[in-house]
Amino acid sequence: MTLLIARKELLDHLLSLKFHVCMAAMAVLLGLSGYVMYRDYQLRMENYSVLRERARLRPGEMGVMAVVEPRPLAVFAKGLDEMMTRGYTVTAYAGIEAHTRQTPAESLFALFSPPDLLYIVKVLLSLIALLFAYDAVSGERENGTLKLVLSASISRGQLVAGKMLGGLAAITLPFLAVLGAALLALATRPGIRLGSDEFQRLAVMVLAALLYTALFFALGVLVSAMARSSAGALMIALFLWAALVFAVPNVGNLVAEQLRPLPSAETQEMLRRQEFAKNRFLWIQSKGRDAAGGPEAFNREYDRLIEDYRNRLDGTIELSKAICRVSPAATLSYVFTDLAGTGLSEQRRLTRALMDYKSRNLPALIQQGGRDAPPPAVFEFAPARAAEALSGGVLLDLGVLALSCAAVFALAAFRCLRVDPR
Amino acid sequence: MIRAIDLTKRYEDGLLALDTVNFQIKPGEVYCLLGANGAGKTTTINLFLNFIEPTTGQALINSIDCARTPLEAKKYVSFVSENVMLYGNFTARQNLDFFARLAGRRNMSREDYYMVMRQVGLPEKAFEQRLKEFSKGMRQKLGIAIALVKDAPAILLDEPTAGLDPKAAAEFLELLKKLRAQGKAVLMSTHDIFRTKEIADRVGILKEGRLVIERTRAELMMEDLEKLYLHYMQAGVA
Repeated sequence: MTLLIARKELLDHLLSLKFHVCMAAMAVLLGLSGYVMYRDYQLRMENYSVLRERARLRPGEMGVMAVVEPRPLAVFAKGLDEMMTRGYTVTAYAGIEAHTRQTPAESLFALFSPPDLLYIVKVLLSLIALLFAYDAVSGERENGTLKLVLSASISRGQLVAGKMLGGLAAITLPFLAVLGAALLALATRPGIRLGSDEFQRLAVMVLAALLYTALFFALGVLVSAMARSSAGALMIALFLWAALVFAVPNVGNLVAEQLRPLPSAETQEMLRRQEFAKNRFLWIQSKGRDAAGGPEAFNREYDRLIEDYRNRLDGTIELSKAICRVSPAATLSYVFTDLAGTGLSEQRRLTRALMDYKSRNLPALIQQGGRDAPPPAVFEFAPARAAEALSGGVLLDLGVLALSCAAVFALAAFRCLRVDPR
Repeated sequence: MIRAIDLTKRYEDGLLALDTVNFQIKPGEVYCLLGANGAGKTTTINLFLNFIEPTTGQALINSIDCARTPLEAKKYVSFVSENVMLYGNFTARQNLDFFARLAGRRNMSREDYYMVMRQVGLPEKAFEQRLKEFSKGMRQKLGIAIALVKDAPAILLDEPTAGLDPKAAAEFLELLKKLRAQGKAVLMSTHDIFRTKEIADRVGILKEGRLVIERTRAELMMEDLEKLYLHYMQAGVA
């Protein structure tokens, strides 16, 4: 019986205009996203090659350029990739300074930022799931078909399970087919390396996308079972969608910032310059004899300031993440970006790697420009392995998604079991 | 086949929708429940379909208590609602196929479905037409076809002729006569005194949840049903 209902639901969706419009929009966006994001990745890889060459050619100058390679999975979840993959100048006296944007061409993408897979799943797929589910119960009640179906020898549990299965299949099967085609097209393109590690990450991303879609579908069914009319259900569903996808993540960040305020970047920079001026003054006054004002001391002070700021930032980020996890969209973003190596965890790892690099190469950086000065080592920042990314927070977020999904499914099923078909 | 024993329903808000109603419908009998809006006609049907549970009393189909073992009881009953909407994206045949499978009839061929649709008087060109394009009369006919496909011994009809034009209503009654001839027990709730006189073997008049009078076809030959109905509608409940 469950399969019969699921089959009917699937066929009903496949024959509807709603299905064709939604799937066409999804296919167009996925295809466009794949193409534009791939071009964007190529452009950033070209930038990376140029910057890396410059980093090697600067042994005679002060400081060294640290460059981070763009992540191939940024094509699917760009996250902070653009922010992370700019060049960084590492010097003994000015610390680590991030460069601004690299090319004017990137401004073009910044103005009309292309939707990546994360955006399509987060915004479009959740909306499609709600549009497919909002009238699952209320629509059938209005049409009288709910009474007709329940007049047969079928339990409400079977009916609910069938409706959920069929509805979900109608959304996820075309999504997987289009995504598979887009992946195949990308994998055959030159310049993008998608190995087994990347495919493992992609598989987890797809799993997260399916859980997220299922959650919104169940939410739609729940609303449908509670509302008296389909129009009312649609209004409530759209309100919840806007709140969960757009409002909660932003409000979460604001609340976290209020609860654990951070000094602004300007304040941070002012403190750093004050520290630098103080140390230079002491050093010059002692004609280089007082080590308390020397470059090592300055770097210690600088590192302490950065470490202090980083700890406070980490605290705020963790609080913000904890609050934002109320929104499945935020949780999905954490999963996608952490897996793609473009998330907050990777940014934290990069900051640590840059600080370690500076500490390790401090003697070379201090002597830089002098005769017989050894050239500083080239900065290397390898992406975290898939297993590392999973244990570093992805599993937690995946668990949160799975649990939220199960909870909303249970609520929807419970409400449907009690629904009045009259 | 269909039996109500002291059937009573009081809703959560305290409204007594049905008050100790008793009736019995034998195979091959059409029983019409007449009454004004809110008299309890649809509540009675809903109790037999277990959409709501009785406060006291029993609704039995084929001697099976509809509240205790609803899934078992529903095997023996077909339902045709006031406004058969069905699935608009499906064709008539696809709708019929779905409800036939839901009723456990899994081995019916396309031709079998066509035959049933011919039987209820649907035009051939409508067989593979989407339901969206159907008139109300055609949808009601398909509703009867669904009941026929299930081949259940009991049929519940909730105001099936409401909103039908006279021709469609007359055709609908012809179908009911065929079902009666096949030995089905039919319970029909309706406002339509004219159709009731034509089809009913027995008539019960509900007023404010109580079955105030019951008449057989033979008794109605000597009484004017319309006058009887108006008399009970105007009088207070004893």
